[in-house]
Formats: sequence, C-alpha cells, structure tokens
Amino acid sequence: MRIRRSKHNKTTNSSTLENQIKLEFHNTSDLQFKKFKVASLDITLAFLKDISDPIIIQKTIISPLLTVSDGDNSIQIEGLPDLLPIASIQKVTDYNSITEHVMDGCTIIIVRDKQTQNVYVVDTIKFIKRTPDEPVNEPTISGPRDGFIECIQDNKTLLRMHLKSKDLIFEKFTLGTDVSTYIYLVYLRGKTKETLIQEVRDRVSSVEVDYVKDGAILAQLLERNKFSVFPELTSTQTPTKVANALLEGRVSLLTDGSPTALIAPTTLNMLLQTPDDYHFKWIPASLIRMLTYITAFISVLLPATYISLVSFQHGLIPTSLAVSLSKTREGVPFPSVIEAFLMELTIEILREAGVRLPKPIGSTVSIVGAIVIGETAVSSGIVSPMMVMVISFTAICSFAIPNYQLSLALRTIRFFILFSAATLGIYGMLIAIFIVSTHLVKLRSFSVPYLEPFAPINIKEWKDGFIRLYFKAGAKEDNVNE
Amino acid sequence: MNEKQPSLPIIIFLISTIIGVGIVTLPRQTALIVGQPNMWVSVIFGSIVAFLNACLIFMLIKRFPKQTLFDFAPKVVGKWIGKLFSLIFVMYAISISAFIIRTMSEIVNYYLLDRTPNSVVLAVLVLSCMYLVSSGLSNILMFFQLYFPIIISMFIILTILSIKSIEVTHLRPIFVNDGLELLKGTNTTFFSFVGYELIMVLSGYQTFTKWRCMTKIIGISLGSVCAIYVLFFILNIGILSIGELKVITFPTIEMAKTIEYQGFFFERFELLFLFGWIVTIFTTLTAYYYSALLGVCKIINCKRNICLNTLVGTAIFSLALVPSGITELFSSATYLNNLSYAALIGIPFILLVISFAKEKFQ
Repeated sequence: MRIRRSKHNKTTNSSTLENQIKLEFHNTSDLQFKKFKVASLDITLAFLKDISDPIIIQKTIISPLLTVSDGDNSIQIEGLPDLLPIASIQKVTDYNSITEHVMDGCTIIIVRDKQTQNVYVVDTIKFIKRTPDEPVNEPTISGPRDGFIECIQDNKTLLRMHLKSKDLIFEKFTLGTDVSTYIYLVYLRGKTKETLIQEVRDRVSSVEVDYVKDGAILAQLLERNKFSVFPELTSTQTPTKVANALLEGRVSLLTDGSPTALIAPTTLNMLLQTPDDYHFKWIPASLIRMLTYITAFISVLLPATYISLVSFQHGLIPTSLAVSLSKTREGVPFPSVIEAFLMELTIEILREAGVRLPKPIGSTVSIVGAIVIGETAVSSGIVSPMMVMVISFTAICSFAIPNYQLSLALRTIRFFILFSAATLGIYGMLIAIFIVSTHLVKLRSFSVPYLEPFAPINIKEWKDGFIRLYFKAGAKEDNVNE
Repeated sequence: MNEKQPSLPIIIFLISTIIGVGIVTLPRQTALIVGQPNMWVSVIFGSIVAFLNACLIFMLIKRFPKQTLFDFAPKVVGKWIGKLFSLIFVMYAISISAFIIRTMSEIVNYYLLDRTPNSVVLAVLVLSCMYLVSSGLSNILMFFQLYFPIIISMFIILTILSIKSIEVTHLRPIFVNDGLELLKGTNTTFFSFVGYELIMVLSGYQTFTKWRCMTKIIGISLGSVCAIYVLFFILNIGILSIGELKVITFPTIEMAKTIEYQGFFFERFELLFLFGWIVTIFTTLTAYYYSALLGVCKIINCKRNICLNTLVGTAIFSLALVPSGITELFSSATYLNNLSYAALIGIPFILLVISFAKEKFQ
C-alpha cells in the first residue's frame, strides 16, 4: 500500500504528511501521534500503538529529547539522530515507504524547523511471541530442541546461531498485492549453485497473489507439478534441518508470521531422513535408516499385497498359513477388498478425529475407536482379525515416516495401489508401482531429480541413502550440486 | 561417473533391454536344438556373434555423431529408401515388443491371473508404458537406473536360493563337445541378445566416437547378460535336467518353483522371479516402444506427441493380440527372426557399405 502519487509532492509540510498517514490508515484508532517541541524544532511521532513498544518509545525517543533544555539553540535538524540512544535510525527520503514502516512497528519521527522537514524511522517493534520450543510434529531424541516461531526476526536469529558463517545470506522479498508478507531467501554463498538461487528467485518473484498466508501455502505456490502428491519443497520447523540443508547447498525460504521454513530442492531420500540419523553411531543409524525405508515401503504396499495374495494368489501363501487365514475369514460377509477399504476408511477417520479434537479427548477417542471398534468388529465377524492387523500395522508404519507431508502422499498412493491390486492382483500392483515410479522419475524439484541418488544412479551418494556411512574427519562435506 | 558423458546409464539401458523373454524361453529352445548338458557354450557363442554385430553397428554410428538411425539412413541411401529402412526398423521394434508382451501375458495368465483376458493384461501394460515413454529418453534412462539394482538383486537372490537344489549329474558330461550342434544353437541364442541394436537410437542422445568407450559399453552389457544367461542355463540344466527342459514351456519359472524353504512367508519363489522378470519385460518394452515412436516421428517429420504415442501403442497392442495361442506365438518367432536379421545385420551392413563407397568415390 502506497501513498498515492497525486497527493505526494516534495514540499509537503509536516501537518499534511500527518494527514496523509491518517488517511492511508483510514483513521484507525490505534494510530497515534505525539507532538512536542525541542528547542526550535517541532517534532511529531507517528506509530501504531499496538505493535510499537511504548516503553522503547519513551526511553529512547521521548525522554532523551525532553531533557534537552529549551534554550539550546545549537541543535540542528540534521543533528537530531545523534541525540537518540538507538542503534538503528534511518532517514527516509521516499515518503511512499512510510506506511510500510509504520506497519512494521516502526516509529516515524517527523522533525520540522522553519524551512525544512526531515523524516526518520526508528525500529520500535513489540513482539508477541512464544519461546522457540521443540516443534510438535518433529520431535528429536538427541538433537537441538529449538524450533522456529512465528516471528521472522527470531527465526533469522536462530539460523545465525546455528550457522556462524559470514557466507550466510538473507535476501528479502515482499509478496502479496493486498497484504504484504516478507519472504527471506536464505543460502550459503559459495556452497549453493548460482543457477539454483536464480531459479528460486525467479519463482518467488513470479508469485502473484493477494496475500501469502503461510509458509506451507507459499510452498504450494512455488510448486511446478500441481498434480503431484509429493511435496516439491520440504517444510520443516526445526532450525537444525534448515542449517543442514544449507550446508548441503540447498536454499531455504522463511516466511514472516509462519514457523514453517521451506527447503528446496527436495528429494525423496531427504524426506526419509531425520537429523537424529546423524547423531548416533553409523551402524545403528544405518539400521534405523533402512528401517525407515522399509517402513515407507510397507506403508504403501502391505494392504495391497495382502489383498492380492488373499483374493488372487492364495497358492503363494504357505499352506498352513492359508488354512488359518481362511479360518479367520470364515463368516466375514464382504470380499476382502471391501473389508480392506472399510478398515482403511475407519483408520483414516480415527486419525483425523484424533487430530481435530483437543489433546486430552483426542487420545481417548483413538483408544476407544481403535480398541472398541476394532475388537467389536472382529468379534461380530464383520472383518477378519488378520485384516485388522494388516491395516493397523500399515497405519503404524505410516506414523513412523519422518516427514508428515510424505506420509500424506504415501497414504494417497496406498489407495491407488490397493485399488490396482484389487482389480489385477500382484500384476496390477506391479503395474501401479511402475506408474508411480514413472511419476517419481519424471518429477523434478527445482531441476533436481526427485529420486536422487537412486535415479540417476550415483553410488557415491548411497553412503547417505539406504544407509548412513561413517563420517571421515577431514572429508569434504557433501553438496547437492556436485 | 563424473565424466562428461557417463557410460553407466547406457550400459544399464542396454542390459535392461537385452534381458527379456530370453531368460524364460531360451533354455527350452536351446535344449530342443542342442540337447546336451554343455549347451550353455552356445550362449557364449551367441554373445560373441552379438558382439561382432554390435561392432559393425558401431562402425556405422561412429560416422554420424549425434544422429540416430532414422537421421542418417536418408542421408546415406536417399530420402525414400532411407525412410523405408527406418520403417523396417520401426516394424521390427513394434513386432519385437508385441512378441515379448504377448509372451509375458501368456505367463501372467498361466501363473498369476488365470481368468483375466489377455487383452486386459496387455492393455494395462501398454498404457503404463505409454506414460513412461511420453516422458522422454532421459527419464526412461533414469527409470531403468532405478530398477536396475532390483533386477540384479532378484537374479542374485534366486541364484543363491537355487544352488542347493542343483544335481551335478544333470550337468555332466561337460566336455563332450559336439561343435556343430553348439553352432546350430548359436542361431537361437543369438536372438536372446538382441537389444544392443538400440544403440543406433541412443546415438542421437549421446555421441559415441571412441572405440574404447564403445567396447566398454558393449562389452560390459553383453558380457554381463551373457554371464546371467550362462548362470541360469546351468541352474536350469542342473535343477531340471535336459530331458525335462525340452518339454517344459517356461523352464526358468518352473526352476524357481522348485525352490522351497519351509518357514519363510513365501514358500514358493516363482513370485520373486516373476516380479523381477516383469520389470525386465517392462524395460525391454519401453526401450523398443520408444525407438519405434522416435522412428515414426522422424519418418513423418514431426515432434513426439500423444497421438503418435497412442498410434504406436495401439499397433503394439493389436499385434500382440494376433496369435491365438502359445503355439502360434512361438511359431511367429520365425518371422520375427527374419525381421531381426534385416534390422540387425542387413540395414547396418548396407548403410555401412554405401557410406564407405560414397566416401571413396568422392
């Protein structure tokens, strides 16, 4: 929002400037003006009283100026900033930016003597913020426990604390035509490919929307594959993840007012890693990494495999198991496909209900739902116990996936593969896997293949793929761009 | 790996293309012709012939860097004959794809889906392949790289599991050589190495000019396929014996069926084999499908688009439905072999001679 050109001219005097500000803010009640005289100078302070800190204004602006004796004529208009005990005070020549500064919580100082008028901006923002607690959906066992918060200044501070490097660069963008939001592009100069930075810059500046609500929404605005279920940018709330990504030569985007930081480019491998993997010794860490991969596969394929084995290829199940399976399925009125869909649906509903309800009730609902419904469904013979086991194990596996967005994507894929398995058995499942992997192979996140390092094959990078090899002291850090 | 033109994707492409139907049907065909326990020697002969043929092809593409067969054929023999040659190659690619997917659908019908009509099995496969082919060569190469470790590990696991059931007596006598029979077998085994001719299509994507690089690519890919085939021949003969091989339609799958480990979740391992094998069929189909599509595009001078893609897909699909049963399918292999001779040896040889002659006379 800008002061309109027609109203603006160089010779505006102070009172009309005040009026203009008032007009711009439509006389909102929290816009405050404070007028006083220091020696021969007329001073007007303008600020929004709710987001500017009155104590800072009193201590750093008003009281130093009021102590100046009235008769002191040596004070010149240009000398005013020297009187104020503030680290950053800026002179504003472009009056169009005044509204923006006021909205940022700054105080505008309009100083006027008989001939001239100067405008200064002082940062007096008051933050309402929580402490940088550990993010709820990204808990860690032994890593740093700080998390991003809604205040972008603090998020930048957190990043600076994690990466003490002179190469750490923040580039500011302003998005939104109606409500402006600040976006910071963060990268490490020298580590990050210039083409990647340029691509991100281009994409960010090409976003044209009324306003950007949140980091997660920005991610969707930046994505190129609108029909893909897989996230093209990783969103995270932990500074550690962002710092690691920056060190690998990726870039990050911070959004004002959102605790979600975005990391680009993203690969599937990256979504299956957690910072914890690096905190333990490499052998257990590798086992955990492999477990994560297996978990991901199970969460996608298990129900489909079960369905196709039970309804198409019973011959492939060992005889004794087949006998006990058919015993448990005795009396179940539905074909196993319907049974699976029913159970999947129930689990998804339970999960959503658990998320929506307040925490204390939420856990009750899931316990009641899982135990009571599951137990009764089995004992009344609507579903077979094996099916309940398969579906709940799948659900548990999908909880074990480190990234929530990936787990959502895999949930969607699971239904597709389940459907294919229900129509064409193991063969249909295989074809569905081909289709999904074709999609993944086609997918690029900021020009980086999504399945790196598995396709294109890069065996050197496999040391941080299925497994996590030991660190070598003196070895160069990995970089996505190499 | 960090060379400007990595050869690994090409090697993987060729291996994934070459391994296909051969691994399932070849033991039987060879057993019918050679009929002795050391028939795996024919496989080695076959690979040598294939290697020589690949060298012939390479001499040709070396003369036209960054061009596919469809680009340089018109330059050498004139526009219309060149287009005819391209068309023969396209027909070859389409019919070989049709042949392999039909064989696959027979196997799928036999082992997995006994009541599903062939057309559904085929249509699903062709449609999913169409999706992959529409994404372009670089993505196809990536897809092959993604599945390559899976294919290889499937072969390794199957080998390890079946070593136990080999009966050495079936493999004897080893050194009774009937050279003539083995050479006759070469004619059959050679065809299970087709796939390397697609280097004439890949040459448009990457330049091949050095003999060293080329022998490395062809040598490694044919060599490893040959190793896998020989291994599976030995497993087949060792587990099933020559007499049985002659009567079983799909010996390798039957071989996988004989593996039994009590207490595993899967008691039967043919599923594991079928899984990996369908992947190889899919990769082979993709490679030929793409070549055919590229050929069609170059012949009628237009960009790759969804209409042509559908056209080629439909052609493969309907050709695959032509044989009425498995006997007719196998007898159609004879026509296919003749077409292969034309596409593999005939066209490159004629083009090479003419381009040499042109160079001499100018």
